[in-house]
Amino acid sequence: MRQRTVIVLIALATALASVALVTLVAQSKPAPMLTAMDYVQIKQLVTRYAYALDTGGNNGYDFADLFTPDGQFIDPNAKGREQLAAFGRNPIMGPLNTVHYGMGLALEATPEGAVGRQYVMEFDFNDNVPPLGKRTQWDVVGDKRGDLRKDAGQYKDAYVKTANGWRFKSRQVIRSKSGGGTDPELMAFLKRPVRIKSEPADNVTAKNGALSVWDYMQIEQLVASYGHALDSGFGKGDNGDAYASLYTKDGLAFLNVKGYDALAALAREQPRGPRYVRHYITHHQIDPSPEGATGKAYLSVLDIGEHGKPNTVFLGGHYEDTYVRTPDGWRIKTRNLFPPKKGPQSAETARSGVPPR
Amino acid sequence: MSKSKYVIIATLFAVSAGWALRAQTSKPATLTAADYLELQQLVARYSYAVDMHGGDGSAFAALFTPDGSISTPDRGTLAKGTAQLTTFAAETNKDRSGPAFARHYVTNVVIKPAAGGATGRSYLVTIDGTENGKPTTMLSGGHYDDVYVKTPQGWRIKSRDYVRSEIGPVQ
Repeated sequence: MRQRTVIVLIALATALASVALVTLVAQSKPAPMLTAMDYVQIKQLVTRYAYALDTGGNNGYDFADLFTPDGQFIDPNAKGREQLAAFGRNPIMGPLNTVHYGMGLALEATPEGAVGRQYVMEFDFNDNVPPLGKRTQWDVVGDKRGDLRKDAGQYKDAYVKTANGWRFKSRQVIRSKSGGGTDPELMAFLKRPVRIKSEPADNVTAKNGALSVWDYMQIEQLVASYGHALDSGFGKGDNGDAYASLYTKDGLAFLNVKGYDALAALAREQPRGPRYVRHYITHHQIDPSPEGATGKAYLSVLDIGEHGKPNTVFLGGHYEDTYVRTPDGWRIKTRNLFPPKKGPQSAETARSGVPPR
Repeated sequence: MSKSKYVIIATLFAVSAGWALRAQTSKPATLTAADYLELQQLVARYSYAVDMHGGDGSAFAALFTPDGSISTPDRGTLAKGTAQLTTFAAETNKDRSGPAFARHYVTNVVIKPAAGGATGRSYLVTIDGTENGKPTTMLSGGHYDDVYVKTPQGWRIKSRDYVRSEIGPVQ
């Protein structure tokens, strides 16, 4: 009897110890982490999504190829390359079509790769913008040249790293809807600290032909500054110097505005103010080039109504840029605007851009 | 001690203090590439937290330092400290919120190193998606002026000032 008690006690103690050990091991398993370059590459993947979907490039396969071979789009559903490519075809798609504007990409590492969420709104821009005529840029503020489409909400994504780089494993549409209480998964996601693995090479500029994490960040910051510089001069009100300073000394904007003085003068024609916001830019795609980098970004000019005036969609489209390294950091060498147009375009239209109006 | 000793000690002290001060002031604030990424992630999380309101508001408050605050130039401080931020998130726009609700669209996120951490400016436009037959509408817009601090739990918002868009005046 006494011996049996001892055996039971030993068994109990062993069981308890192993439970404790398993718990300890589970707890000490480090949270998955991604490198800074992983974050950059996932951000670039998500940016490419908008261009692939809105242009319908390569007969829908540009879109399909952002996914893994078994990747899926959820609500509406499409799974695998052929179904995804079919999803990426639509008569409104074309090289100048810009509809899906994503913002606020929140990412997190998982044991399988990464997960993310992104807000998305959709625009229906007018194809033809009336000429300015004798009016100033201030006179046309608030002109309605498009609408928000019905769908707005967020994407819920899973990404995996493949031999060809990061790809969508899945992207699910969650249309905006109020109510529904709380979401413990989202709560936990928001509360977990963001930890990113980094190495010294991330913090120095790369050689021409390549881009480091530092370069991506600085080019992103340059383009993120564009609206602040143009609309408010970063809160100073005068925007000329702030705007011209984004460019190289010989910088060229919109085909025919070249050099510091001309760029500053162009900015000073635009509506502005210390608290003014108007140019919302997103989907900043960045690629290395022999001279530095090239980039594209979606533009939406949104007029926030004052004194009871309605809010209006003023302009959309996309920019195409080149950037170079200078002693003062990255600068825009050229920027061209392509106003939005639905459907296929002639090669000339698709490549021409527009001068300032 | 002779008077000259005092002079020597005082001089040594002044020189070393000067050195320390110069070392501090001549070293500009810097951010690493990973800091930029982590701060972008912090700014992105704000929208989800503010739109979810999430039951108790704790996910929103967790994005701020314990003494963090939100304000507007016209209304002053709206909430300061974890308790007030939690209540603010749980109580504001209760009927227009939820884990699937998307209203705060933020872009143009500019981050700059600053003494003690970083500052940020970003654009906000608020959009309400279609519900109950109402069309999707743009509600308002402006910009955020932020101060961030790096804590042992990662980057946090120390203060966020929301400034609604106003056109002009022309200088």
